[in-house]
Amino acid sequence: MGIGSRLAVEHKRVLGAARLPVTLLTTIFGSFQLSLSFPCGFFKVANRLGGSLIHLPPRWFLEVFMLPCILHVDMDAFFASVEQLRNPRLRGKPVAVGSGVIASASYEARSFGLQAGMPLQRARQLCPEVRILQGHAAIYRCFSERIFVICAEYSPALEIYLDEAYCDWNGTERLYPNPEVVAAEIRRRVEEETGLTVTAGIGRNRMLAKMASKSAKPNGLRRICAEEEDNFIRGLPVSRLPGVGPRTERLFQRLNIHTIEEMRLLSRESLRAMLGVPGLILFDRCRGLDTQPVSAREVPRSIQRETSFHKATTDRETIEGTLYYLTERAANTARQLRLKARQLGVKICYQDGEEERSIRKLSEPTSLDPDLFVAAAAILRMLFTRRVALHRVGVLLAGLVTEDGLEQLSLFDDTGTSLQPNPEDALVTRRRKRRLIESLDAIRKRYGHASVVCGQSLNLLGKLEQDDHGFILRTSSLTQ
Amino acid sequence: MKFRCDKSELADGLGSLLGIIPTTQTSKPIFLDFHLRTSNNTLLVEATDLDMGARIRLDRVDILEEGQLALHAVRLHSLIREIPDKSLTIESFPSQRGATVKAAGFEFKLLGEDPMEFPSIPESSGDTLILASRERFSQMLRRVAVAASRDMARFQLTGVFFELDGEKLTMTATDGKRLTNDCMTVNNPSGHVSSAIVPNRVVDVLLKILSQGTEEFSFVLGDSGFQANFGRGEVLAKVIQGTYPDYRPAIADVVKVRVTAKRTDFLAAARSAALMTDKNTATVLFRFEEGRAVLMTQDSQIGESRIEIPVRIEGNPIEVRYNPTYFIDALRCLTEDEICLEFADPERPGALRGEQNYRHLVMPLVTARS
Repeated sequence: MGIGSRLAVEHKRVLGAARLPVTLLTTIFGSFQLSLSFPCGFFKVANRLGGSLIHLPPRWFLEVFMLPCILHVDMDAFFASVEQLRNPRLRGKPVAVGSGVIASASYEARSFGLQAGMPLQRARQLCPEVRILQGHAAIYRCFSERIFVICAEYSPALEIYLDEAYCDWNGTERLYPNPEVVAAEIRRRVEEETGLTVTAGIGRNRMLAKMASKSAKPNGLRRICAEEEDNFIRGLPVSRLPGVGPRTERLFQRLNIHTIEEMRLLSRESLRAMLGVPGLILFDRCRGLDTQPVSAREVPRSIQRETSFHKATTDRETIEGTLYYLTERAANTARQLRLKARQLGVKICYQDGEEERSIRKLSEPTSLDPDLFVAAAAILRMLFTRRVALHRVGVLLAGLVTEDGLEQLSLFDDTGTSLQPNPEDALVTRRRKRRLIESLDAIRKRYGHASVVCGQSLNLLGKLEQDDHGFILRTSSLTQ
Repeated sequence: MKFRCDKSELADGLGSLLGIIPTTQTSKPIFLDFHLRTSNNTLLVEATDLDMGARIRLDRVDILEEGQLALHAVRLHSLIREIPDKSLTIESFPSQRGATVKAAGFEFKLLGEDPMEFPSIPESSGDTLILASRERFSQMLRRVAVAASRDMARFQLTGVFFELDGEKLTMTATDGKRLTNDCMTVNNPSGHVSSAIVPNRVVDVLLKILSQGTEEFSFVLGDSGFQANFGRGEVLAKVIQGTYPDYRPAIADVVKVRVTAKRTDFLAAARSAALMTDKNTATVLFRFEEGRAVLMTQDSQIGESRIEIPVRIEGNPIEVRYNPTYFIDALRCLTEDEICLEFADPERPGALRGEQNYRHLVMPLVTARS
């Protein structure tokens, strides 16, 4: 065994404990003979000549000395509450949102026994006066985004879902000596600024935070301190443990196991035999342990913009104009988030309900409207083949990566058929295109999106009404 | 039909034609088959999908009974590979729609298609053949084909561009971000000039066949197609109908900086640097200074790296950013101990030179804002 690989094996153990990317390091170890050192918390690898260095962030270093604290924010009967907020007549009345089954039921409806996942027919039987509404995903997302913005102001890292968020407060003990005060502040601000109520739970890890908020619902706040953790968790029914669904619950009930305390009597091996790997996770969870970190998803999976036409249309100009406008709005959002897309998709719905969609990989990741529209128009031409009017059109940016300010040069021009006559000129043109779009963004930021209309969206002038924020689309495209 | 043959010879022969068999669903199931037939005491194995076809002659076979067969290609090949015995016998059913494969202790009855349905592959045309050194041709093709595009949106780039001008054969491949180019001398009796884009699939099959055997190699390059003869068989293929972009201006470039380095050192350094990047930041900064090259990466999620290797440099120091994958691909297909890198400036393609005329241009990454 060479000294390099011996070191690799030796330090695999150490590194494993330090939670560093072990595979990465061992591969590097394989190719060089190395010396290792830990100057000021940084991890450093140097080769024989002292020439090759690799610095890794001292993440593990921080984790050792931080006090764990997680805040879980859960919106109370979210969809139903938003609908009650939008339509004051619904307030205080049983409301359910969903199609087919209930997605969300207001607390008034819950008192009749209605709950999420229940078929609507059954809901009507239980509560004949319930108002059942179709969901408005775009609007809900708008509300949740506003709530998350408030949470983000108080949290170094945030993991968000549609109606809940985990705030990572690890290491904030000096900033927030009393986390309950901050959580109360967040709840107050959310209610003031959006009119919605949220429940907050604070715990040592994600699981405890979530269980705390669940026990305080609705419109409550609960913190589980380290001392009371055991008492809190012990008496709860097994179904309250995240990861125990109806099927697992039945399995435990057959064994006469009803509370978490009873579940603790099961050995690691029996849980593994019963449930496989998830059993091992439950073994830790029923002891109040949860190692899953709060991971902020910095990059959204996709950006989507779509709208219906005021009247179904076959007019290519209108369709392309709308597609350009939607692409422009999507690209603008991507640029604000400093992202570029690797893939672009287009979706069309015909008047008769038939739907077509296709997604294509772009030759280069980009966030510039003209480049994206070329691809979008090509997909539209491919999809829109039937002689039926279109009812809806949408665009999707996917495979998002962060904008690093670098561009891969190409040997050929955009069509891929002839060589760039002069690479310097091509580069200058591209930089000018980018500057132009950045200037447009700046103008629109100041004077509203409608201050400049460009590209194929000029087709829409005179056909669609405009206000400062842009064309007034039938379905708001601003959040979806 | 009945014959006895050496297991490994048959397995190698079948294996080299597997690339022709369609991997996706096909309208004609017979395209999934190998066509085996006897002719003048040799066994001929054929495969085709109408875009390309290939034929291999196996001589060391005892033909016990003449005839023909069409058997499922992938299954037949895997089956023969699994047989531990050295020799095997294949005998067709009386109906010809299948065969019995026998070896010591093994017996398979493999159902097949009607061999008469198998499309016939034309015999080699009477065009004048161009003779080439097999070893050099296959080395050149392998090195050039690396850069060919796999993106069907630019179909004219999804192959290797062959240009024949008298005694000189030039091969070029590009995907827009890199370009490979090499040339060699061939024996072209007619001295005619022609060019064609040979699709990637044909290149893959050719490379596989060329890696076996040592017979003389010759080919024909025409408007209608590409034909290669390699002693014990031939490959006939349609070429891509399209105009290959004029790549020459990119190659004829000024060289301001020339860097010479040990290939293995450079490869190890580039690989390690690539490990510290991901799809978000597939960028390595190459800094070439007096006596050394420094490779640097930076990623907020992964960490940083700085790798130094000794190099010789002629010209002023230069800093260029590249996608490391392209560099690793280029370094991997070279075999020389020492390689040479040529640059004009950080916004023009950098060229990796091997021995002889091989060059591998890689387009750099540049800052999007001026």
